[in-house]
Amino acid sequence: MTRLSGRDSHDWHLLNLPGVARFSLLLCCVTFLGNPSCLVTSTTEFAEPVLSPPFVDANTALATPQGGAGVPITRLLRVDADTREVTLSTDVRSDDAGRPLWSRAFINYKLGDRPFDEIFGGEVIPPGTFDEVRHIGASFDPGRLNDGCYQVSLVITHEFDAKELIPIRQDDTAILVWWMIKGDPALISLAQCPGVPPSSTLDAGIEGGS
Amino acid sequence: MRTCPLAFFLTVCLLSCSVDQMPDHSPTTRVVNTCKIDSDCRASGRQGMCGSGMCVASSGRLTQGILEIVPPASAFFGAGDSFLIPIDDISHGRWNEDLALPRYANVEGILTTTPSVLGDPPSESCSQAFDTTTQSLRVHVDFSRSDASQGLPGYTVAANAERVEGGTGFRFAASVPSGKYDVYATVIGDCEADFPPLFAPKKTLDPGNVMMELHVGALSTLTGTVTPPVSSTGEQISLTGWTVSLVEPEQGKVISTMRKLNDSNPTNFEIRYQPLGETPPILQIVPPKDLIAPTITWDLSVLDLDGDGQVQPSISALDLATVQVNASVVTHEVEAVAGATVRLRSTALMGASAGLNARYETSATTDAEGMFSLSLLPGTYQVVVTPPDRTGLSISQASWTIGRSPAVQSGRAIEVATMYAVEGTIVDPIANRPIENISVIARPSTMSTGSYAERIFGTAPLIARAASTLTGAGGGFVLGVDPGVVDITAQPSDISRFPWLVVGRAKVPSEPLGTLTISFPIPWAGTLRDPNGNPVQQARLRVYALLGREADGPADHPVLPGVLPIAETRTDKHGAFTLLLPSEVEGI
Repeated sequence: MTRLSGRDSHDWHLLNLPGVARFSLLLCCVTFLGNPSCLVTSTTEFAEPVLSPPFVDANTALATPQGGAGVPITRLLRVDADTREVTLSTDVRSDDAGRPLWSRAFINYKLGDRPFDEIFGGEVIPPGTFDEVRHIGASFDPGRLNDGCYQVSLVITHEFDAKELIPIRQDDTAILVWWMIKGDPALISLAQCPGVPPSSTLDAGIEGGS
Repeated sequence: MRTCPLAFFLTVCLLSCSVDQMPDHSPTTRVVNTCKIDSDCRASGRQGMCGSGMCVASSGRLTQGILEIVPPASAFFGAGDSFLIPIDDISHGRWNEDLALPRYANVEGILTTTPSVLGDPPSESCSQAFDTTTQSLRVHVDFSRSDASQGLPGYTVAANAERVEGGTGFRFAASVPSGKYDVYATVIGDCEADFPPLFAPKKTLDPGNVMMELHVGALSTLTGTVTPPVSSTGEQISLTGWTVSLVEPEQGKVISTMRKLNDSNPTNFEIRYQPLGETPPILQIVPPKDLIAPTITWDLSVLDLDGDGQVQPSISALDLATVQVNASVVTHEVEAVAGATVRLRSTALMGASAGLNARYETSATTDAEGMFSLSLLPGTYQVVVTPPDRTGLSISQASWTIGRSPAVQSGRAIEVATMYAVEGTIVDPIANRPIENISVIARPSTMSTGSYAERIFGTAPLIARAASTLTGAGGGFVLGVDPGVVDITAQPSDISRFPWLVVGRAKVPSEPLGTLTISFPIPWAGTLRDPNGNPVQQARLRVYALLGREADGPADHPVLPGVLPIAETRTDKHGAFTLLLPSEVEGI
């Protein structure tokens, strides 16, 4: 190699380029890599999650005394002095918009001057969507009640009032109702059931979505 | 040489670090009522609900109560007075129920009578207390809250009638919290021989201006002759100085003129009274203060069977000879108990025939050797000894029969027992955690007082003294309590958001209470305002449960009637309050 022939071609390195050339080359690379993202002209639209009231499947609703068979809402629930727990349960669907779904059991819900006579805490299930069928329930102890006829309600909602303990929004609430007799049925007339005129027939039922 | 101080300092530091073990002063874990969801309140199997961040009860057992409100002495309205408000439906929580202090009952009244009632002519002192124009009397009037007989706090206001300008006669005025009051009026001055006190029970005084016009018309007259007792020598004992009067049977208030027997007329009496209606009064003969003799009572309807207003009470069979009794009070180890109070109350006196109710009461205090000396009438006595406080000794009682002879009787001793231990452990309802460092107080049960007739004819109930302690490690406590019936309360701090634990009507001595679980609270929150709508700061609110109704206990174990304090709090600077009522009360 002569001095005139310059450097050996095998020793070439990017740093050998002049500064301006190196900058130009870097700019080309950035432009090349960045161009595709600039070509996206629109994004996918995701709908805001909408809270739906809980919809219960009344056909799946059961009141199950401890150690006994489940009673649907179309039948009278009977318990005796030895019954220590009754579980109210149902299948439910709802769009929860990220909020948990609460359930509580009420005795004589909104039948008198008070919002309820007794209340019992139930399950709180994690948020879900409407296409999921989930199960929810609440248990209560009838041992605290005197012999007589009672209205028993499974109330499901996304938010209970922290002080009054009842649902904040009626339009976000599902209620399943059973009639329950505690004690000797021969001694307790259905006419003694609260909130029902003596001449009426008793129909358990459902409010809210179904 | 400069390194010497440094070396010395390091040496000291190393030595100070040579403590191989620090004393175990682990901080007390504060147990607080808190939750996020309902299942947090069911950890121990108890049914609770999560509301406002704390576990609350679905409902409570107690249904009715009385709320006592006492504004502070600095309050603009109601300073230091006690207002009682009946409350219904305390079985369920109430979060936004404000309270308003009721207005005072501003009572203005007059007591009138006809001139003939005061005698003809009336005595000079009675004339001065009588306004002939309006026929009103200058009286002293006591307003006493009727509810006190249930065991609720007593409250009495007194007023004197004064002559009012404008010729409206003698009038009295008083402002009292509204409610039911027993009104008792006595003439001011030395007129009690001519005009009897007026007793008007259970007068309802509503808020606002109340005009009270009391009138005494014709009086009934009772005349009689007392047959005095006879001494051992067969001579009649003089009754000079004894006083004859009629009392009403509920509270024992005198309702007649008082007749003091004297030398010139030692056995005959004539008293005047206003009839009580269907309730017969009690005739009472009271000995002079320093005479050792019993108070004797008769049911007037029995004594005056024909109702002609003439009676012949006889105490001739009563033995008034006294016996000197010297006795001592000792512990189980036969150590003298100095400073003990000894009360004796006769249950039967010798010579008192059937149907004659004679009662003699006296008391003494033991000296340094535990000795006391009394003069007593022969008979049977209930003896109650109250040792000084903080000696660990309990109130004890005995029954003595004192014979007629010998005249001096010595050698009796009353043994006082040590305090009875009331033991228990207090745990919280969420996770059965022991609660340490909370006050546990035993107070004598506040029960309804019986009628005066029941009180004077029966034995006196033992009333335990109040005792208190703090729960220790593990939530345990031991209280030293006198025998009797007590209400025990454990009072967690406001920060814990637990209600009081209440054991009502606990009998002492008894088995250990065992583990006591505080109940979930029934909350009651609101703001206390005066009648003008201003918040009342720092007022004390105390809730009493009313006991004694059929619903409060099974038929074979009736609850002793009366009241039971179950919750207490104070309003804050905005007048806001949160009462946490216990959902369960042990023992009832």
